[in-house]
Amino acid sequence: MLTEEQIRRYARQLIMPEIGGSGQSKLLDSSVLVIGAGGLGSAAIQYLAGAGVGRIGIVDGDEVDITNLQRQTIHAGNLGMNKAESAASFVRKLNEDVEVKAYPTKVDVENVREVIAGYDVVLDCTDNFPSRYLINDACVLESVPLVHSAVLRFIGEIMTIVPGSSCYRCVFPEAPPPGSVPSCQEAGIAGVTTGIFGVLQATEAIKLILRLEVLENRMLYADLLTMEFDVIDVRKDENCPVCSGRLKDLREVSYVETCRIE
Amino acid sequence: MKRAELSEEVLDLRDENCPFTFIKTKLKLEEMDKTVLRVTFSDETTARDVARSVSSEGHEVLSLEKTEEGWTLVVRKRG
Amino acid sequence: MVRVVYPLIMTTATRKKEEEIEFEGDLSSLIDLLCERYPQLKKVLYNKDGFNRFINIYVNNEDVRNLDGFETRLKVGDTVKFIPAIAGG
Repeated sequence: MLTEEQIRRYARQLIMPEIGGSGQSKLLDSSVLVIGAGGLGSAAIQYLAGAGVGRIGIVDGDEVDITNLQRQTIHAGNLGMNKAESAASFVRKLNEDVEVKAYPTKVDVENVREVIAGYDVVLDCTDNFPSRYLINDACVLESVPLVHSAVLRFIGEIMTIVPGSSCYRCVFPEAPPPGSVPSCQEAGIAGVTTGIFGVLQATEAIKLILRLEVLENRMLYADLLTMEFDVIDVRKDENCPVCSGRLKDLREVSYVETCRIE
Repeated sequence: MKRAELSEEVLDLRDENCPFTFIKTKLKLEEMDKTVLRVTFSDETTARDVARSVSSEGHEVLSLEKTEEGWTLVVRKRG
Repeated sequence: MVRVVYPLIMTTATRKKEEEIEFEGDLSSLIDLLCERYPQLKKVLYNKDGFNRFINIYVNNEDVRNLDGFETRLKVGDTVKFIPAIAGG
């Protein structure tokens, strides 16, 4: 049962047939873990909090730096603060219905599965390959839905991984050797690119919670310069070492360089 | 007010404004166990707007009429 | 004509983001043609074990791994996109 204040707060989405009171209950009862409170994460967090996701976890071991403010708008006024804490303070200001937990740390092989297991959906908003492969593998092992997204300059990709579907390794079995693909620091990233794709991640998370259609076995790839948005089929690779079920323990994998699994 | 039948849920939204007139009607329809809802509004336009909206969501409008208290809409919940 | 779209790691060699190429044949031959036209492309696309696994190739938005791989035949009007893995966030 929603309070008077909640009826007013969520009025714009309660009206929608796809959400309504029952959808709002689902959102308030759900939990989303956002790994990375950078460009993608900042954008996603705003809308997850606004929609009333009941519990949001935010993982980030870095501090707010002035170079972040070109795109990570939720960190306004928080230079020097840990980014997870900064993001959490934004959420509290926006919506007290949301229980927010800040993890001022990075995920690694030892802690990732435990952290992930406590949530309904995970958003990969990190900025490096080893973390991405680690998160993909952990989410598949824990059977927790994952929304993957990555960006560079004006390009972005997004895909949703659910138990039984293709995973990130089905698309890219291994990472580029260090130095072969430039990072955002080296090649640049438009604020708008992270904004759009972060919000798309929040969209997928909300749809997962509401049991609406998501980008399962599909990847959306876009170039904001040409405005070409392509939806590409991603078939499950029968030889994928992770989603085929072969991988049992993350410690068997070396999450460095190519993060290859033999 | 007409005596509500035992199988009806009753809702008084005469003090509500748009869009909460529709939202609260919609929420009640979603939550209630009973199959019929009798809801009262302060004016005809509001009642007709809500009737149209609940109808587009698949509920059945059984009646809409002016009563002593206001405008009363009776709706059968879908499904 | 076949439309070829280049990602950032290839544009340093090609100097353009995309182009229309008069071409008929399979993907492998197209890549040979491009490497001939843009000599710096070879070291971007290949390593000592062969074609770089982190660069996916799509023909009309279909992963060529689901088609005939490097033997996928290209026809007039096809669009070939090279898409490498990226990690920015």
